[in-house]
Amino acid sequence: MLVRLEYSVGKEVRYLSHLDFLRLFIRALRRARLPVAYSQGFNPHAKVAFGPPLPVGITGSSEYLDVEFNEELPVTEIMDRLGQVLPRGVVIKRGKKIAGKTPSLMAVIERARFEVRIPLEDGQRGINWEKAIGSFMARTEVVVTRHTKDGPRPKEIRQGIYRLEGKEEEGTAVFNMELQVGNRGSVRPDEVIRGLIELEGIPLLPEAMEIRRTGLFLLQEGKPVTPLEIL
Amino acid sequence: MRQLIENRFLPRVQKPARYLGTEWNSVHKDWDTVPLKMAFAFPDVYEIGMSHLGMQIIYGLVNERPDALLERVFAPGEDLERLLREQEVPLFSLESYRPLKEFDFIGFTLQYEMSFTNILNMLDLAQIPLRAGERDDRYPLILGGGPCASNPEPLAPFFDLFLLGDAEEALPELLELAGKRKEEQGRLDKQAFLMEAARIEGVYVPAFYDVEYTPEGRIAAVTPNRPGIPHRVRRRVVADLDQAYFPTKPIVPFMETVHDRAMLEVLRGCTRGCRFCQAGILYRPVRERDVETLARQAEELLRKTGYDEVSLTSLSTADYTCLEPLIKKLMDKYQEEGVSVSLPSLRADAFSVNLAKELQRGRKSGLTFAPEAGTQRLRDVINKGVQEKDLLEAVTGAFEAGWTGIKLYFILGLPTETDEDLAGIAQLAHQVLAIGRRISKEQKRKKKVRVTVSVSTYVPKAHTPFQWEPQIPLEEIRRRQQYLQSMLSKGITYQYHDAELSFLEAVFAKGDRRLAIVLERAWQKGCKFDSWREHFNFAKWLEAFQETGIDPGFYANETLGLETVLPWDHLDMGVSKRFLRRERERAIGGSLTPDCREGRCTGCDVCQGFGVDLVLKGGKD
Repeated sequence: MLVRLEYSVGKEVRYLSHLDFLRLFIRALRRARLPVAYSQGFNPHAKVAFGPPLPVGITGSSEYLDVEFNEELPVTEIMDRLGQVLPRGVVIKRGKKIAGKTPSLMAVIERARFEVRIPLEDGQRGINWEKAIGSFMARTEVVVTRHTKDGPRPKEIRQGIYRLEGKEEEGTAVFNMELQVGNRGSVRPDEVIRGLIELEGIPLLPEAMEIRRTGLFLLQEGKPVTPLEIL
Repeated sequence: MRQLIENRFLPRVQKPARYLGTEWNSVHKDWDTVPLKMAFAFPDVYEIGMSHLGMQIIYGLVNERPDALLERVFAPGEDLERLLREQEVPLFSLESYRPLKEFDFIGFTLQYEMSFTNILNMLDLAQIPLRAGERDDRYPLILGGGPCASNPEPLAPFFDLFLLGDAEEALPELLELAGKRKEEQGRLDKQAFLMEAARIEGVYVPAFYDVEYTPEGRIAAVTPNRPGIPHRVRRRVVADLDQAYFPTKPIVPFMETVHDRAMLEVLRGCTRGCRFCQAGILYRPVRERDVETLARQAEELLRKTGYDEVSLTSLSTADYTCLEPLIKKLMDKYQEEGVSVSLPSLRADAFSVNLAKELQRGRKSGLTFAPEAGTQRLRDVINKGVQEKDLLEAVTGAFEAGWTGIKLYFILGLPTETDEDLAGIAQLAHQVLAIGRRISKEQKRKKKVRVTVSVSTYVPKAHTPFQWEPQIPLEEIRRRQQYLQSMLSKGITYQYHDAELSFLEAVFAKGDRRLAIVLERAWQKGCKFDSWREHFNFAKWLEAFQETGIDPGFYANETLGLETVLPWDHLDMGVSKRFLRRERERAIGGSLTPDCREGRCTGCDVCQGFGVDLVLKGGKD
């Protein structure tokens, strides 16, 4: 039985790597004594598969994970038992049984939504967000520097920005954005902010940035839908 | 503080998962309602400290008490250290992110000499004065324990007290006392507390002892300077491990650590009697746990952690008298769940290889054996009862079973070693390589046979039969390392330890209180993480010795007379000096001393002195 779970990643665990999350869930599933299926062969591994990795330092409202079990179990029971043995900061929100064959999360997820919050200092108030963002989105090309293991590389990100909104909320700049994610490449929210600072001259302090990935989506007839909605 | 660390520091460090403190099974108690607060400090990075069973034992032991809490702290990485210093933020505990100076006790574990500079660095980062004499009642009491507490003299001025032996015994008594005094007085009066604590067996308060020196610079006497303080402090011993506390809810790290698995301590101690081995003395006698106890602990461990591997740990697990029934029991019960059982080390014999064969799942990459010395003569000197025949049999078995890599572990510079013994290492390694290649050819394997010779340098340790022996001079270490290399063919991988690091280890292993200023000076010059090759700076250490006028060779390279008062003589590990002297003589004569497990008492005096006995669950033969 294949089950898709939606979970959130809180502040406490936002600094864990993708590999850390894999280890965390496998151990939690064992603690919950859930009958997880294992691959055959010399080095059997648990049949769990994640969506696109959550970058280190970012919290997440709706992350996804597929787990295969050897037995049929009510999804609510799985959620309950697993929920009791997860470290603080990881919360199971929803779950659904996957009937039949479904392509993997990594293969189908194409869009990610983020909320970025940056506290503003006095001199940074009263920015005309609409104008700045309008000008930014009107560009056909936005090139930022991406730090890869082979050193800094220029990277065009504009094509991967599908939506960008910004506003001021009680002394904090709040951005909402929908970006490309997945196998065909990803745009990172901090790259969008850096582009805004550099190209539109918005005086923000990127060190104080708090980022939350608020959703992951695949596209159905051009419209974003969640990985649970398609089941 | 939490805000600052979480939002400003952690995004800027390379491994933030080291500093989260919310791992599964971590304990977060209410600071304001728990009277006694202790921090457990491991003077190395998280990944190493979290692999240490002793930490998990003490963490559980203290946190199970309603009147005390224990939180962890490790040596921060360089990136976090820079941020802490820049922003003048004191070093904090992982669970509550509180400054270490707010705790009642900070307990450092003393696992290896070359972590000593990290202790000073951590105290400094915590904004706590280094020397006990400079810390008034507002500062925590600084405790030390672990193997290096058997000669903690170079650290004496920095610590308030040391716990000798099994902490399960003395630590609860110490906390009990502290709790009582704190309740009566609302705070801890340090001097009064230490006076009382020093009467607890196993508690050593270095400030209560004066050291006098001979004109030659050796120790004349170590004497208590207050009434009621024991002349010798004796280590504590858990008599019955089945009754002892064992943590079945250890913290499960988020990140990968050195030993990322459940640890089941099957026994404590080892009486094989290798004459170079300090652990073989410090943890006597052998005390085994019952199979039933272990099975119950394994069950709880696996359920509470979610690990899929159990390591059967001890100084020599292959010697556990109920090893086969235990393994069978664990495999029968957990194999279906995909749990594997592993052994941390193997004895060089066919029995061990058969065990390894049974336990190994999947790839058979490498096995390690430790013949320690290259000739039978030298193996007899050190009382390592391994015969060449056993080793070759074990290696043959391993290659036949499909292993392709064999690592052989040796010690260079053992007392009486000659070039002939080094030639013996090379010869043995080539024999092993030839066996591997022959079997590989017979079985038509594609994978290349790898033989690795790993050589560490002998460091004479306190409380061992070789405690009077010198380390060979630094130049001679280098010469022997080269000489051995020149005799090894290209097909053999050769690894050896940094000679300079081994030299310093020898200085501190047999050091006295006068070395404290060297330690302090070296730390001031920037020495820390000395056991990490990329951090070790020998030139700075030499400067520190020069500037303080102390000759390191005096400690490392001189032979001591059997009547010399040793810096650690007032610390009683339970093994009599008479026994150590006799063992030293037997070593020089090349005669073996059998393991007392085989039935004959070797007269080390531990059992009689402590009123304990060997605990062998499979019965004595």
